Amino acid sequence: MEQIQGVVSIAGERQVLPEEKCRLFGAARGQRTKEQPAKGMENGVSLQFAAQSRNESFARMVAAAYAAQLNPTLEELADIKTAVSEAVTNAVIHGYGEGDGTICMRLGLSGHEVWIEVEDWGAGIADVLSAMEPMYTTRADMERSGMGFAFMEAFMDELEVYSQKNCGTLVCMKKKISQEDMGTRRACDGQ
Amino acid sequence: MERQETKKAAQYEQCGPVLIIMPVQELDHCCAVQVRQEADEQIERGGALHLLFDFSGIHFMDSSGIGVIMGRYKKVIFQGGNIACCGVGAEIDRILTLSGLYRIMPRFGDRKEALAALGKKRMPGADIPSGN
Ligand SMILES: Nc1ncnc2c1ncn2[C@@H]1O[C@H](COP(=O)(O)OP(=O)(O)OP(=O)(O)O)[C@@H](O)[C@H]1O
Ligand SMILES: [Mg+2]
Repeated sequence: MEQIQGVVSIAGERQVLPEEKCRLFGAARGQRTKEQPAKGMENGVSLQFAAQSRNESFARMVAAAYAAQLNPTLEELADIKTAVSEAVTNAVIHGYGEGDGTICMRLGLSGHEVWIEVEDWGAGIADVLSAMEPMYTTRADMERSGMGFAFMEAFMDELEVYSQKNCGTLVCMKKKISQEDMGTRRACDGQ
Repeated sequence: MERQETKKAAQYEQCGPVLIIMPVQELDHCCAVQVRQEADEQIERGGALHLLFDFSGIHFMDSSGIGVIMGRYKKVIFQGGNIACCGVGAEIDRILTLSGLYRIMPRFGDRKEALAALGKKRMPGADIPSGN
């Protein structure tokens, strides 16, 4: 059995999670069914879909529609769409190598924060810390640029990546939605 | 919500030595695969030297778009060609800035400006060794 690796990134600082935390996570992952919404979150939503490229736009639209309940700015909404698109694309391309598979996306709220998880049961990542390095890619042959994790880091407030070789990958992201104030245009104000 | 297979991912226009590529669908992995294929066909057919990406048709692009641009850049640079972009909105601008792509793909206000610059030998702001 390969070891579970976990890395957390807050404000651009990456830290390898201690083994106990990863083990705990691994056990929880085994017990948890795909349908269960993000733990400890309000208004949980979970969605399972086929690991197909055309579902990338579907997933980011769902996440954006879900986040809309916190009345985000257009920029915050764009951030969420990009981060989700990156995580789902990675699951499709790297997790399942563009073959068959299931991706699960879980959404939850905690106060003014949106919590998003994207999980696959595919190939897993051999070295999570290296994989998160900007420009690092194992698929240069597919014209990948290695910017996916860098965008998730830049556009979200917190990013956690857990992976186990041959078992799969879980990406958890948190985005704080700014409080409404005068002058900031909100997404629901219309274009 | 699902896009039709037959719908083009981008519009193409040949303008002298420049091929203008204007994506019309959100430039994600799904769309990038299509643009890559279409653009390469167009480059081959029209013999384009330079490429101009016109982003005025889209408001979304992720890292897959970066890959498509880098890939096309590597194609034309070998023949001494350049790439440029125009029609960049706020969303696309953030991606291009973060990825550092402006270093190889200078940004212009509109097509006219970009075409004029591509016509010159060296691009302003672009750190590109001229091909020989
Ligand atoms: N879900 C996943 N399953 C397996 N491997 C993954 C997964 N997500 C990422 N990886 C690995 O991490 C690397 C870095 O991912 P990242 O998204 O940063 O770049 P990329 O996907 O290679 O390129 P880009 O996202 O710019 O198109 C990938 O090349 C891949 O090896
Ligand atoms: Mg990626």
